[in-house]
This record gives sequence, C-alpha cells and structure tokens, in this order.
Amino acid sequence: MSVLTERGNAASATLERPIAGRRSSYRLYGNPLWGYLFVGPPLIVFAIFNVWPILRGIVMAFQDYRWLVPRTQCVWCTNGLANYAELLQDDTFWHSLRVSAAYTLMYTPTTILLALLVAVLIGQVRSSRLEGIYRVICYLPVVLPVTAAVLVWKSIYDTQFGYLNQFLTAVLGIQSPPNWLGSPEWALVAAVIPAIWRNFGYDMLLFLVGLYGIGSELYEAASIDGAGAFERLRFITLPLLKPTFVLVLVLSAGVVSATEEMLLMFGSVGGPGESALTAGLYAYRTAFLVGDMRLGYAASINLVLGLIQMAMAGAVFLFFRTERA
Amino acid sequence: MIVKRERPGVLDSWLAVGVIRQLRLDRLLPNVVLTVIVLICLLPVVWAVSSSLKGAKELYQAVPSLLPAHPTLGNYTFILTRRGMEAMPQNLLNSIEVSISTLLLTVLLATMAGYGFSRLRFPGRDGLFYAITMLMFVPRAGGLMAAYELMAFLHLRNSDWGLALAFSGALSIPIFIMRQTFLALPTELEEAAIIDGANPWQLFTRIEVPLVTGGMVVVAILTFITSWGDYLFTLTMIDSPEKMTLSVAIAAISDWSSALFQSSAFATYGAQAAGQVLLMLPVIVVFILLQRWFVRGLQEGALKL
Repeated sequence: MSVLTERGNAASATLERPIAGRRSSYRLYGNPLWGYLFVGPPLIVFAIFNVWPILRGIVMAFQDYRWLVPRTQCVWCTNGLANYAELLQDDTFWHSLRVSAAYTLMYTPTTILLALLVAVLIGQVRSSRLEGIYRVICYLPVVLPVTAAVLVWKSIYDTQFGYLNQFLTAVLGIQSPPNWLGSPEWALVAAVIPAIWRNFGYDMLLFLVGLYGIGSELYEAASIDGAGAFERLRFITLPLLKPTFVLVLVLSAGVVSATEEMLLMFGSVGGPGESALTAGLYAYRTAFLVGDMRLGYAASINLVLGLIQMAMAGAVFLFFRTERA
Repeated sequence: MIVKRERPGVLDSWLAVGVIRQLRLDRLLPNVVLTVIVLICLLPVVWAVSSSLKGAKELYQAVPSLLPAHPTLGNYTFILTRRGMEAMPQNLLNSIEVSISTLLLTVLLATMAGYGFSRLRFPGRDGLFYAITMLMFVPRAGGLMAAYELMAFLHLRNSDWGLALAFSGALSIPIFIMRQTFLALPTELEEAAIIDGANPWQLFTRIEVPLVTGGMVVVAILTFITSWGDYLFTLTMIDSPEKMTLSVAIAAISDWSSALFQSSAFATYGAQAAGQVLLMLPVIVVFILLQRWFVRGLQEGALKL
C-alpha cells in the first residue's frame, strides 16, 4: 500500500519538475484547463445525480412535500420541525423503528461472526484451489440480484411446497416447523436469513483481506513460545483485525434503513401484522405507495435513520479508537 | 496482490505426540464446516434452477424434492411467450440495454476522472477527490425521494436512458478504482510522449487508456452487477410494464396480488423460478468467468480504504 502511494507521489513529482528542453509542452500539461476538461463531465453527472439528491433530500426532510398535491411543492420553503413533531406521535413509525432495531440486532452480529468464522476457516485451508472455490461460492450470493435472492427464499419458505420445512421435518426431525411467512413471530426472522445469506460473503472478503495482512512470522513466534490454537486466535488474530472490524461495522450501519428485502418478501404491507415493517419500508410506503405520496414526511423518516446510522458509525470509531494502518 | 503463504494452522501443535491425529483434524475440520456453508450458499440457486425445470405435477407434490425427476423447459416458454407475459422479453431487453449503457457511461466517466485526478494538476484536485470518496459514506436521507422529484423534473422517469444516467451518478467507487490504477502506472512512456509534444488528450487516448484496461474491466463488472440487479430505484422510476427491467418484472409476477399474473396457480412457482434463473444467470456467468479480476478490484478498493 505504501509502495503504491510512493510511486504515485513519484509520478506527480516528476511531472512537477520542468522537463528540460520542452517547457511549452510542460506548461500545457500542467495547465489546469486540461484537468477541468477531464474531470468536468464526470463531476457534472456526479453532482446532478448523486450530490443534489442528498442535499435536496435533507431539505425535503423539513418540508411537507406531497407529490400529489402540487401546492405543497416548493424547493426552499420549510415547515420547520412539524414533520418531527408528527413523527413523535406516529405509532406506526415507532413500531417500525422497533422492527428495524430488532432486524439490526439479529442481522449484524450474526453476519459479522459468520463472516469472521468463514474467513478464519478459509485461511486454514491448505490447497489454494480449494480455498479459491470456497471463497468464490461464499461470495456468490453477494452479487445475485436482490429480487432473485429474496424471491427464491420466499419459495423455499413456503410451508407446503417449499424445501425448508420439508428439510426440517424429514432430515432434522423437527415436528412442527414454523410458518415462516405467515406468523408474526417468525416473519422478521424469515426476512433476516436471506439478508445474512446474501451479505456475509462481502464481510468475509474484508476479513480475509485483513487476515492475509497478518504475517505468518507472528504465528510462528507465538507457536514457539508455546501458544496454543485459541491463544493465537485471541492474542494475534483478533487484535490485528481491529481495523477490519471497524470497517465492517461501519459498513454494516447501513442496515438500519433496510427496505428492499422486506418489500420483496412481504409487499407494502410489511408482513403479517406489520411485523416486518422496517422504518425504511415505512418511509418508502409513505412516499410512493399510499395516500398523497408524502415525500417530505418520508424524507424526515430517512433523515432520522441517517442520523442513527451516523451515530452508530461514530460509536464504532469511539469504541475502537484505532489508528488506521 | 494477495500471495498465499504457508501458515501454521489454527490447530497445529509442536507436540510430537498425536501429531498425526492433529494433522488430520486440522485438515478435516475446516473443510467439513466450509463444505456445509458452501452447500447452504448454493442451496437457493439450486432450488431455483430445479424449480424452474419442474413440471406442475412435481412442483405441487406433497413432499417437495430437491431435484426434478422429469425436467422440462415448459416454464421458460411460459414466462417468455404466454398470454399475460408479453412484456417479459422486452423487459429482458430493457435490462440488457440499461446495464450496458450504464457500464459504458460509467467506465468512460470514471476513466476520465481517474486520469484527471491522478495525472493532471489543477487547483482543488485532491480536496475534490477526497470529497467524492467521502460522499460514499454519507447516509442517503431522503435521497430516493429527491431523486424522484429530480427525474420527473428532467423528464427522465420511465426511460432507459434516464436510468442509465442516474446509475452512472454513482461514481465514487469507480473513480477511486480508476485513480488507483492510474497511480500504479510508471510514467516513463508519458514523459517520452510529452517530450515529443503530445497533449494530455493524446496521452490519454494513445497511452493511458490501453494500459488501464484491467481497472476498466473491474469497474465494468461492478457496474453491470449493480445495475442489472437494481430493484428499488428502478421500481420507483418506472411505471409502465413495457419499460420495466427484468428485475422489477420478476418481482411483479411473483406478487400474488399483482394484476399482471392472469393464469391460475397452476404454474406459479415454476414460471417464477424460471424468471429468477433468467435474472441470476448473466450475473453468475460474468462473476465466475471474471472472478479473478473482480476479487482483485474489490481488494484494492478495500485495502486502500
């Protein structure tokens, strides 16, 4: 990593020195106009489709903007904190927040631990080819389209024709397997499992990268000093994986606004008794699927979620207080 | 570049006693557990493929089986030709169009920007780059709602080009990757060309671009996978069935309250599964064939983060 940065610096350093005998072309090369020419078009697209929605979204979170009611549509007018006052009274919102919290609590530790476990195990595999195969297959669910992934699981969950309950009763001998999609207790769990299945490969890859960065000399020295397997894990692997943990946790903070999986699995209702109505889904529903299409109110919900996300990321940084390698 | 090195296994021991037993356990345990996990990873894919090949009788038998006894392609013809599914081939084409336009546009923009941020000098260059990269981590509060307003204002809703443009806005990661690729290139060729009087555009097209095709491929793969599988954004921006992408269409026909699905429950799961397989197939193929490049690109991005 440092090698590349040095080379990068060397590259720009060479260009900063005038090249003997060709000062005119050097000046052309260092002419900022060229820089703007190359960076301009991408920046314009980026600004319009990426930056503007973020800024506009934040402003919208303070407006009572209803798509189907033209007179409420304005760019700069705000109605102060009225949206948030309404949010405080909104029972569905609080319910959805609880659902999101439950979802996050089920999803995050499981995914991270599973990813860590798989990464450590893959690190133990001797044959490079086998290791490659494991890695590829574990990462495969990450690239599958959300729609296909969730819908396949939906059909696996089917109590009559799906494979899961058949497997549970026939192979594992569980007498009455749960009604995954139909019962309020299990619906959220049913939504979490495909999400874990889909995303653990990504975290696993990050852990693998961190793992490969740990030199084998440390392990050998520890072995010579008499450290057993689990001591090595505790005192070498885990501490040295701290930066990776930080990265993984910060990236996982986004799960509080999970919307797609629930929408695909249960539709806009949000599951039996709205038991799988995450806050993200509630916001989406408010904005696009019901009533006046209250984009403003939905943006407020998303803003609250975004703040929670940033708070979680901040908490992770504070908790670990690691220096970046 | 990740180099696989020999490491003492977690269960290694320097004790002579029981070394053989230890070694076997050492090799066996990870592989057994990993095999189980890998099977779980593959199960849904296998289930989708096998469901798509099952006839109605097998789909609805009392005890579901994992593999079809009498595979049939009926579900595929159903989903592509039957009454009520007329839009499906068009949806497939739409997906292909959108994904390819997006990846061409993104690769072009990212390569230009990567070149500009790494090789050219202009005021505010580094600050701008860090801003673009950090924006990746900003949570999108109300982004989708604002995008809705924006796209309607630009008359870009319900259009393939609109989607492609909007997807191309996600340039943080592509620019990052391309800049890294450019920075890793030696500058001797460029310097020689500068001495010969080349301007940056010529440098770009004749020298730089041919050298960074690796990075461009990585960006292309990532962009293809993201835009092919996108659901929420496309769902929000497109209303008419003919303009939908495959991703959204498959979800629509699986929703039992959807008006698109006219026939009886007779072929529900089979046709749905066929659609899911069609949706997954290009991604799986692209992924497995170019897995080497893909993982390397992701690792470069993650390492630098």
